[in-house]
Amino acid sequence: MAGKAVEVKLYSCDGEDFRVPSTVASRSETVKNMLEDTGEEDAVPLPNVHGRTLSLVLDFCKRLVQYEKDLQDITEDFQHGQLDDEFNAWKQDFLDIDQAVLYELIMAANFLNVAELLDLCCKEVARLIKGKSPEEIRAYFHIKNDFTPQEEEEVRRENQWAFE
Amino acid sequence: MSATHSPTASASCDAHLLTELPAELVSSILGHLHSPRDAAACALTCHRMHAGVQEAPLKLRVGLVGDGGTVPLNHSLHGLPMSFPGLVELDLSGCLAGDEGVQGVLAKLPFLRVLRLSSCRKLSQAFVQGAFPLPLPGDLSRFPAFKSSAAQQACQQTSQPGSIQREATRAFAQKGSGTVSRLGRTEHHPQDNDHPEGGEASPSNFGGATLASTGMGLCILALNNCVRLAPEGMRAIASSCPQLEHLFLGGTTIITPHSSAAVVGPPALVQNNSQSFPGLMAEGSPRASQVSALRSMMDAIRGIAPADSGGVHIQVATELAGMVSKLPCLQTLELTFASAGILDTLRASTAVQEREGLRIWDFCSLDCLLDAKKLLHAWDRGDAGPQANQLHPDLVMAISAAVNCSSRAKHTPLHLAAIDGCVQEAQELLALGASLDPADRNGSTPLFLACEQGQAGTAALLLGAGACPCAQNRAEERPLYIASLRGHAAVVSELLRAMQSRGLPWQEPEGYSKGWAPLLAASLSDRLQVASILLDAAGSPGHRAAMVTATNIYGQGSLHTAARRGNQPMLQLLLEHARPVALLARDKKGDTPISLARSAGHFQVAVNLEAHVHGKPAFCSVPQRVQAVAIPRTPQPRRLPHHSEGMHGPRSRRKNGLR
Repeated sequence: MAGKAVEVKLYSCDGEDFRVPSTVASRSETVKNMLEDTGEEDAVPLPNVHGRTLSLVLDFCKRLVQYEKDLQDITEDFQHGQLDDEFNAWKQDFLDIDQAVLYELIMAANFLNVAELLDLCCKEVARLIKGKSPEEIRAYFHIKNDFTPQEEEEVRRENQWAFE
Repeated sequence: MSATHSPTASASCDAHLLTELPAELVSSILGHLHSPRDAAACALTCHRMHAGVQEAPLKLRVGLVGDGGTVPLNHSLHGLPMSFPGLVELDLSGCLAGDEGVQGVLAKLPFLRVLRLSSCRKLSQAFVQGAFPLPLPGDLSRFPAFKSSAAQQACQQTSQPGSIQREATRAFAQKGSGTVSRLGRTEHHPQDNDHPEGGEASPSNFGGATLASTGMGLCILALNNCVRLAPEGMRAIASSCPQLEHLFLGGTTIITPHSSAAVVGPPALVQNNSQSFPGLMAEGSPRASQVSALRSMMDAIRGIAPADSGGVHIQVATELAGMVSKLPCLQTLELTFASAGILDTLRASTAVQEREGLRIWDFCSLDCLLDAKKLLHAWDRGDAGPQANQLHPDLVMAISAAVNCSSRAKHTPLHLAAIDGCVQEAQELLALGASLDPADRNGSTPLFLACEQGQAGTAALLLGAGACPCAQNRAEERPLYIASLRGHAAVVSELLRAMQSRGLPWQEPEGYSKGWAPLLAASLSDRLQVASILLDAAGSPGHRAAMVTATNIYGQGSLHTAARRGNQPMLQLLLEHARPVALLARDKKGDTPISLARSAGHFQVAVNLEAHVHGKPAFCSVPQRVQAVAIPRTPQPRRLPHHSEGMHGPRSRRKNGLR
């Protein structure tokens, strides 16, 4: 039944509605399960996701579906690398967002169960952490140091080896 | 159903700060950190992150090897379990970790699933043999989570490869996949050892019984560079791992039936039918040729004609085909470095023909590399089913073990790609986990071989990937030296760029064996273009002058060698950067460039040089030779016995040149 042209309706928590092909929406395991339960005619409510975040998630899913379709169509192996490069470049652009949006995206990807997106966003945060000192991480991620001087000394001692 | 918009719902999707994310998501993020320093830095920021780091299933890489140096390890191995008790993957590749350190880490990390010990040369043989990879052989009950381990090049020597395979296979048989590869760090291939076939009384390297009882679930098995695999071993694999889907045997030697049946004669001479996969390399060392000479002598005495290689190919291929036919689930058989004869015969055999979709991989071929990449991709995305998706890390590990297997000359596929200048192949190999700086039998890295062969493309790729531009081979030659000597200008430029951008010194003669600095090498072999690149790169006039006058341990500088070769354009180039008085510098034998030119018969050159010293323009008016590298490389004249050592330099130390 699930033809490629079938569109499904998704509602975000702030009442925005999105119409997307079911192939795209199904990249979210959560949505896919709901569609299987209720059928593709009913609108799917997503009470945990904001409209602006959902729109980003769906952008990603669309591009992912496109990438996978392209992969199927290629005839030469060298095109594989080309497609990867294009997709990676797209991801770079996609991730050019505020930290707060990135966390919302992580939460949404987790709730909607889009493994590729969750992985991408987690990697991005890890990339932002890499190479920074504890003080720099605190400043960059707005983390409040809630250690007492004594505690901090202890933790520092415990991890000192890693900085040698 | 309608969209709800309750405050609680909207609150639950808000996380404006890293620390506001749920614990499992913080864990996922931390799981992408690979350096202990980054993980420790996170732990030091606040309570929340500290707890996160302690719980997270981290995958860390300890002791990254920099340019030539390694990180001291004792502190790391002691601190790891304390700082990161949730560690699931630990990569100690290239570390100087000792037995006790590794045992200690294993004992204190209850969740550890994957341990990589590639190139951990300090691990003792006993540890790898008897205890690999666990404190107690086969005692997996103590480590319920432990899944796989790679120990490529793990220890310096190996005497009883059979037992390693047996122990390791037993240990992993229950776990779904096993990777045992390149356990030996022996300098020579076992065939070339003092007891070429000794210590292998048992025809089977595999404990068939051991496998049979435990191996039912094994679906990935990598036995790369294992020393000898007899037909009994292959049968043992077939009968005890009926579920086997992916078998990796690159670099492993296969013994044919006759060899294992032979029991007469001294042990060193019985196994004349053994066919090592690496058919590529001729046996170069004197010992190896001695052994083969002895073999053929014994063959003649016993009235057996030396096994013709075609026959051996067919035998090996037949054994392999037999094994394939007994492994109904087999999808991949990796046989890198198998000779073309074996591969062709095997591919044509009915057992393989009947099996549709069976991949036979040779990682020296680009097609196979791309195929491997495609398979990994499918497994990663879960296209091949949930079980494959779960085993994805194991397949990654097995393939990375296989791309690092080596031929008899200890060439890895990356060495060959570097030599042939196959940039894409090298790229794919690196992506599949090939190590950057493996040493072949001469101690040469792929970068060194690319430089020797003048393959600027692969040299640039390897440098870009972080290959060490200073790695010495066993003759203590460095890439820049060899590229200068061979006159590969493009490669020299690449090397200089890489070394300068990394702030590595390259001009000082002390950095080169016996003081054979690159300019000296270029002058020795008349590489005018390389010499001018080197001088350009030297920077200030002072540096250039120092480079021209720098000498090797025989007191000879670039002017000495150029004068002895009578190479006027070279002398002219060099003298643009040095004062004329440099022509009076005496080497250890008391010769000046001028006297050398004269004694080598270049009288006009000597006269010109003398004139140059006295400030006359005679030298400069000499008509220039046209081509930069016009003089073909000729054998060094030997009529100056007192120079023969100095002139020959480090080159003469290379016993096994590349063929």
